[in-house]
Amino acid sequence: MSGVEAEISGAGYGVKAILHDVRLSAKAGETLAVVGRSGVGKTTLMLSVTGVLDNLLGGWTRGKVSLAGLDPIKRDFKEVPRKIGIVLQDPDRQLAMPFVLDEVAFTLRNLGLPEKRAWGALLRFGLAHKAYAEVETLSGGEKRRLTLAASLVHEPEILILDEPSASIDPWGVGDLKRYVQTMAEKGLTILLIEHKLGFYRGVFDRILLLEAGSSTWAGSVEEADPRILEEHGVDYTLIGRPRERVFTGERVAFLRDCEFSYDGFTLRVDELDIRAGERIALIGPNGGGKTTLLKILGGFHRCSGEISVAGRAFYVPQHPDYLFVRPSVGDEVRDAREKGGHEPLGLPTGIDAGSSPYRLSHGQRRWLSLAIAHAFRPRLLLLDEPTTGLDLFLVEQLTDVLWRLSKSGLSIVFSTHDPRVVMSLADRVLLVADGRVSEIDVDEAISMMLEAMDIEI
Amino acid sequence: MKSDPTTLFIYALSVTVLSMVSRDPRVLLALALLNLPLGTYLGRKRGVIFFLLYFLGLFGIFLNSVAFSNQGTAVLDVGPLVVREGAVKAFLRVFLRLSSILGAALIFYGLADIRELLDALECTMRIPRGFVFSLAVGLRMLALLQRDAGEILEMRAQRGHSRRPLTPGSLSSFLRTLLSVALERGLWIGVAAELRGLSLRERRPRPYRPGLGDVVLLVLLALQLTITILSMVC
Amino acid sequence: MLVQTVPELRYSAVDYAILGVVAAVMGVVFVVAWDFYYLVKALLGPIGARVFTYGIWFMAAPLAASLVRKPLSAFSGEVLAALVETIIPTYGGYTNLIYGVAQGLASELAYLIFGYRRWGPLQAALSGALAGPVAVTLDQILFPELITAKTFAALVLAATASGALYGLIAYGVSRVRK
Repeated sequence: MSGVEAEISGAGYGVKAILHDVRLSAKAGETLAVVGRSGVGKTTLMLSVTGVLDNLLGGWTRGKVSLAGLDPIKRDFKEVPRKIGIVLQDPDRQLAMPFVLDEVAFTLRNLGLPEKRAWGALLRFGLAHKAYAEVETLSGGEKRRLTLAASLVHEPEILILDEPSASIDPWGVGDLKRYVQTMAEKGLTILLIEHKLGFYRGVFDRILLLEAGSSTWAGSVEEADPRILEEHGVDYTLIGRPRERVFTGERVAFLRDCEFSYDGFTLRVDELDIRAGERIALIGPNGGGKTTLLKILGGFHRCSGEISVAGRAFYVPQHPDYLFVRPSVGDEVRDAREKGGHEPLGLPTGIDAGSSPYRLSHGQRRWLSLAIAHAFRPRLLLLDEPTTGLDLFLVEQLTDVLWRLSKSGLSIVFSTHDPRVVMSLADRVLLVADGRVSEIDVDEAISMMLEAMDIEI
Repeated sequence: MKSDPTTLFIYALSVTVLSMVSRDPRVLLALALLNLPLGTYLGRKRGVIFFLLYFLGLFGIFLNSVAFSNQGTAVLDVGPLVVREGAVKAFLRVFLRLSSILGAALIFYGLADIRELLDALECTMRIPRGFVFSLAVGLRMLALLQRDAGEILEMRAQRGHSRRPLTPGSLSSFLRTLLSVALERGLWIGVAAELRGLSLRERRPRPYRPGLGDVVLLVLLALQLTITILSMVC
Repeated sequence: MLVQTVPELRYSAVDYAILGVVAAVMGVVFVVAWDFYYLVKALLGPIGARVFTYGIWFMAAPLAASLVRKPLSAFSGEVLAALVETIIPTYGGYTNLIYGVAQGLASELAYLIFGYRRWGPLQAALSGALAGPVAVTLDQILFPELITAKTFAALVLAATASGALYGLIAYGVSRVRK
């Protein structure tokens, strides 16, 4: 029999329990969404039911788990790969082989299956023409499709997806949903771990809500109460909070006939003015030039034409880690104060100054990166996908802070794939696609993104 | 010419060893003449930057030759700098040795395909599967980490730190960030690989079947081996 | 935990992946240090360039062993880093692999003599230091014309001290997520 059943009365590492009381049930052919805010134990649950926690990471699970009829925690851990396919949050944290074809063949050779089957999977996910390409030359969306191809090529009974949309653009989300729906129609049992549930409406049958390591609610889509879900940081209705707009002061930066080329790609900006206090969203497909535009404004790329930025610009990368230079949070703050010349933004309580910045949660690291940027008192703050991987509460905290900073005259340019952030933060939207930049209406931008993701409001 | 990666691996490794152990200038000349022109031809697509750096390095070798082996009759006398016979001989010998090592490497780079090499390491050369997996991950991560490294250095500059992390302190700082990002990826790549059956993997041995390209290289190698041994015996 | 009672022998998929990470990280460090290396090499020659970068070339072993605390991790880390450097075109070609295997064996000794029970800063420094004499010996074989008996002794000292320093750095960096 297929499906996943788990009754877990405790799971964690050493003396620390992360899960306390979780009952999970997905019958064969069902699609179950496991939801809850960051840090409630969604990923630990995934590691526990696959046996990875106990057999690979030195952790422990108390309770009973049945995965496609196997006992993954004790007896059958080695057999788990034959029954499941797994897709993790970031393709770069999953793809192991340097070349496309080998990534799919890896699964097949491990399981002793004929390697020529890889071609079928590549065709199905639109990657056959890139079979011999280096994985690093693929776009974000293509890498996501490659993880799907490599996870489904052996025809597993169960598919587990851990926040699969965190790193892809709206068009990629639309593709992903269609693939997951096809798998569901084929009868696969699917576990979808997510906090942006609203992106997946119509895809899942049942919901399991986690809070602080325990399951607090489970039921069908029809029974779900959006209000309760949103109180638990799960975004169900996808309604951003629109705020008061358009505060335009003096001009802070401008670009005229600016052109920048690298590796055969050219980004062209005919005209762009940025005024004090403006919040400008950059949207568009991955690889279209959003990061390049941010880096031009940040002074990292020199472009032809005219460019002028009054005062300092500061760029905060998508991976906040890139910005850290010191071994502890306290040292980071001191270093930023010394080099930036001003007091950094205050950090939320609960962050230990002695802790390594790399040990903080993703949300805390994001916060620290903003605190550092603030110490340099930029006139222009450049944020590359600042809300990736943040849950509803954290997104709201972040947009609150950014909104406050912009009221004091700071101009903010940010790239995003999230229509909620556009809705709650953007005064203006620039569509950056295929190396071209064009201004579009905010509402038009939001409906374009929702349409790409195949979401009806 | 198509050669098995196993042959190329053995060829380049053996020529490098021979070049390192040979002391006879005639042998070094023979090895260099056999490998450098062929390597330059085969590796021309990959090697432009190579040759630039190579000729840059020659100047340094010359300086070292003057510094460490400047004995014998003077060959060149320019004021404070007197270049003696010993320095010229030393320079020539080092130059020839490095030429054959570079030539052999270029033959490998010109003919070997990384995909086939990984497969040959596992199936023909019988290197343990876990080790070959590590190497594949290393090559995959290298492309990713080069991008990361560029970003990290830009961010360091933005924060008022050195862009070139060469002192022990700045190297630690740079490496902490790079390693942190890389380790997080490595952990999940390991988890995913296990869930995709890495420990169920069985080797599919493939016997070594040399073709024409392999025979040519093996004959060339045998020739160089003979020359080296003869020079040592005679 | 710096002391283990019984050494664990079996490598998991995560261990193998981390060894791959070490190889790639060292590959990047060499690329970052590369132009510096060539500048020094043009100014001070191959011997001078080696003195200035010695310890960096020995870091893979202590870094791998500090992260994957199992027998042969130091050796594997060093050899993998050398293989990566051999496969992506680098100037040294297959000398990288020869140096890697020899240095890896020497570095592994630092953990072996402690019975694979200690993986602390002392062992990491020792692991880097032990690679020094081996590397200089190989240099002597590669550049016999350039290394006299007197310079040989001085180079061994320099390489050993530099190896110990960078071994310590490798240990410190390995604690980043601890």
